[in-house]
Amino acid sequence: MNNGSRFTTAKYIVTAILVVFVLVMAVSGRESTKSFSEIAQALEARTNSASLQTAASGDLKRLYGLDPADYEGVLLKTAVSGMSAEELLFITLKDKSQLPAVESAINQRLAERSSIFEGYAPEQARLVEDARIITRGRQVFLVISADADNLSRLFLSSL
Amino acid sequence: MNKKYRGSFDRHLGILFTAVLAVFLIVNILVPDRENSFTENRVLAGLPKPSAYTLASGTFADDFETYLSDQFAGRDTFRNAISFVRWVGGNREEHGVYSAPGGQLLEALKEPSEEVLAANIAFLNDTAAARSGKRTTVLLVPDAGAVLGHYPAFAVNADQAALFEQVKEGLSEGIGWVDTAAALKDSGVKKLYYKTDHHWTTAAAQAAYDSYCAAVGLTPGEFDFYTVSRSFNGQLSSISGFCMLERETIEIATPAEEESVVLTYTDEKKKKATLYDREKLTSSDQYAVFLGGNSSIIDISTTAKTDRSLLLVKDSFANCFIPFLTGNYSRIVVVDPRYVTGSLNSVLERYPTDDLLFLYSGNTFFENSISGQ
Amino acid sequence: MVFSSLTFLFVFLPVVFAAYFLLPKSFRNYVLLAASVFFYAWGEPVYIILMVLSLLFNYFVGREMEEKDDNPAARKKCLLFALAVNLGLLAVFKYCTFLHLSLPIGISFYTFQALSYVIDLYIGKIRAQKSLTAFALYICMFPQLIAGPIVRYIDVEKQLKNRTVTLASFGSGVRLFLVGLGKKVLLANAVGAVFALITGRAASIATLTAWVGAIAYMLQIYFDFSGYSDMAIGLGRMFGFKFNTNFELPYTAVTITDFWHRWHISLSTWFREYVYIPLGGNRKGVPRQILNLLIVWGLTGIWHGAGLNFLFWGLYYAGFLILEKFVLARFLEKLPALLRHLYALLIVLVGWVFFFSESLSGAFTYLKSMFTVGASGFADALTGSSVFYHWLLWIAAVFACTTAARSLRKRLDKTRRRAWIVNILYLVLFFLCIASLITESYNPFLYFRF
Repeated sequence: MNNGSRFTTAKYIVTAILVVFVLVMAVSGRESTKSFSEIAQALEARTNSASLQTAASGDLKRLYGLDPADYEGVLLKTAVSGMSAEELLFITLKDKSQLPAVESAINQRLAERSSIFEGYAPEQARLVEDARIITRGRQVFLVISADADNLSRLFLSSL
Repeated sequence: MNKKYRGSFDRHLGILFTAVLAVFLIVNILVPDRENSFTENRVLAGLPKPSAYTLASGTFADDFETYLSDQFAGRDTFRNAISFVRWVGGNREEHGVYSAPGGQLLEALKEPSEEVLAANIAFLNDTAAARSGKRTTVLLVPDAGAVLGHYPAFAVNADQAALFEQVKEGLSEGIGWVDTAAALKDSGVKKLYYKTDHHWTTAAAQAAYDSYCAAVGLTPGEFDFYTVSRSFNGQLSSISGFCMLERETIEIATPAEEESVVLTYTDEKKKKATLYDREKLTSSDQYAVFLGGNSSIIDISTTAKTDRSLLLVKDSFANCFIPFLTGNYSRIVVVDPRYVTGSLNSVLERYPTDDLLFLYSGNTFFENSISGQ
Repeated sequence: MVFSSLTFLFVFLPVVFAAYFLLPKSFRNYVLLAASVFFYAWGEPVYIILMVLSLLFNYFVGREMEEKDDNPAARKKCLLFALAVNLGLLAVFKYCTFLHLSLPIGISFYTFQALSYVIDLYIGKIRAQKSLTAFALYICMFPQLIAGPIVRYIDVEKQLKNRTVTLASFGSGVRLFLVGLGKKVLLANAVGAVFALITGRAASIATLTAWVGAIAYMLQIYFDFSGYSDMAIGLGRMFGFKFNTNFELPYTAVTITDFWHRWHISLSTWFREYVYIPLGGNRKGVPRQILNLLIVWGLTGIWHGAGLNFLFWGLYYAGFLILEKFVLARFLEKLPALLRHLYALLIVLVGWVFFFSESLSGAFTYLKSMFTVGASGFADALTGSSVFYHWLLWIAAVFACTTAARSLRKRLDKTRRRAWIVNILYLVLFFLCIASLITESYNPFLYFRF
């Protein structure tokens, strides 16, 4: 009987860990509580102002076809040089239902940038190919950069 | 069934399979990684760096697979083999490129959305209006498929001739229009377009140039043609994998009378004394011999005996057209809006030249909004 | 990690083979277990924890149940708790979409394998596995972890501790693996591309095009799934395991009943053994049998996915199975074989439309474009290009579904004089697969990581 209770105890311990695991996964999938400006500030601090500049106010509409007034917050940084594919976009949606439209605008932008650089500037085309897109709840993040890895990590850690 | 014999048959396959795995593993480790693919004209993936984020998100696994695929020994041979097998199996279309009879590759003709078409026509009209009194001309170049026409069966293409008509109708009074399709067809030039690239040949560009001169009242110059490359394999081939072994010639046209030019690449802050970049002839993008490829703004001064100036808003098709203009204008400002940052209009306002010419190929004009609006 | 990838073929496999065959035999289970954990973690770096916890849980359940041999009430309590936890986990990750949890790869497979162990142990058909290594190996062995077949513990119990590999049996495993790889890479992926092209259209499609699309999917899912099963069974054989076949040329079936004896055999076996028979099967009268069938097939449907269209798909088949059993059987037997075959294929084809559509309404829309002539007409350029730009592929794919293909292969594999040539053919097949894997990765229209 003693052996039986050893396994029974083990079984219940594992079950408890499972429950904890499921709860942790469910919670981590939920939204971040940070505001747009907190995350945006963290991103701004890290981007290189020599190669990326804050975009003019009409640029989100011009480049992505999206209206900044629709969203809680928009941060768009474009390349200083016309021959560079570098770009950073961070949007906090007002509502998750806006996500498909934003995703499709991003896809289209990436396709356009790819076709402009493909064949003519292979290194830039590679950057576009390696672009990172991360969505967490209402936060949408796009980075095209040689530093994409670090910026992605920065974004995730500032959530 | 002879079981003993069956056993040796299986044993052989077991050995062969393991040998193939081992050989490729060793060869892939020993052969150093390439940075670029010449035939595909793109940068190849490097060994991904593992980090907590990329490992946990699965990005590292994907990047690693891409890395293996890009750097696999014999990559080009394998890709050619698959392309060949698919072609034998009936495939005539890959990534928007059709393989037409005679080894001619043709890009699909794109259908513009209504918004893009309207926006582009409006852009042409508005820019012309802002320079009232100056001469504006629009020269749209039909893509190869629209002129040569022999697509494989079941190809789906827009009617470019009709679309060109639509653009022509939408232009304001006073804007000149060059009927490029007619100029090309009547020119008698045998090879109007490259087989493996979407661009037109230098000879075709000359036919359009003659037509442009007629339209604006300039005298076309005399030119001698020289072959600068016999090993050109173009972008359509790189994208689709068709006709990878085809080698074409590129010609340049030099004026019969000596001339010198100075090119200023405004954004890159460089100056050059020639229209041609010979280094590109050894790269995988040989068409870039013209002007060194695409650039945002190039300011060209020539020794032409005139003070006429030209603002040329264009895509890559104009690159082999520009050398014909150096005798007709003393200053040519070349703008490619795709690479211009900031407001295009403010850039254009900086150059109040005498003439304004828009030169675009059909597909580029119909695919995206030129002004970025 | 997936079998049809360069990472698996040219990094993982050579290393695992070297470790498995060069180290002493006593190490073999450890090597395979370590390889399997690495294999799973590569693709699921976070959910590996879940799988490990699940297998630990079921291991302890097994040990506990065996200890409580003499106490039926305690055993029953143990069984119910095990069912609750296993099915609960499956339910949470698969069906609670409101939690926005991503689906752990293979969870449906390893959960069902664990359940087969627990239930057969309760019934008394097997003894508990005392070695944690052996049990862990059963649950997460990489050949069948990700995509089946669902291996019942009872079928491999002895093989866990006692199996032999000879170079000849290894080679026969390679043979099956290469056939599976070819099915997946050269056939499934290719017809899948046609399917994606046709269904990617935002506009409506022509009638014939809709048929081409549905047939493309029908072929894709068969070659994908049976290809994977072939690779799994072949890999198992390379390590000395004998798994049961999972597909028996299902598109040669002449009735729906026949079809389900040939399609995903391990799943229907599982449902028969652990749901249908415990519910009473056909031993409690006809109305109860019909109810049992509806339950089993409803569950089979949603096992494939959490959507009404999957439930509908399962019940759709239940309907035909019941009809055939009680009404149509005698009538069907009198029909010529060709008509029976067409009947079965048509029912199956329509079934797939429900399977691939995102929703019930989507399925009905697609069926409408198949059976009526809509705005795009009867046929258009896309019909032509999707058929004629791939004529060789269609011929090869349809041929590969038939018994003629199987007898051709059997004849080739038995030849004496031309044995070398046949092995070279298998190698050529392998090289074509490698070429296809290399070519697929670069896609100039971008691969997004959402």
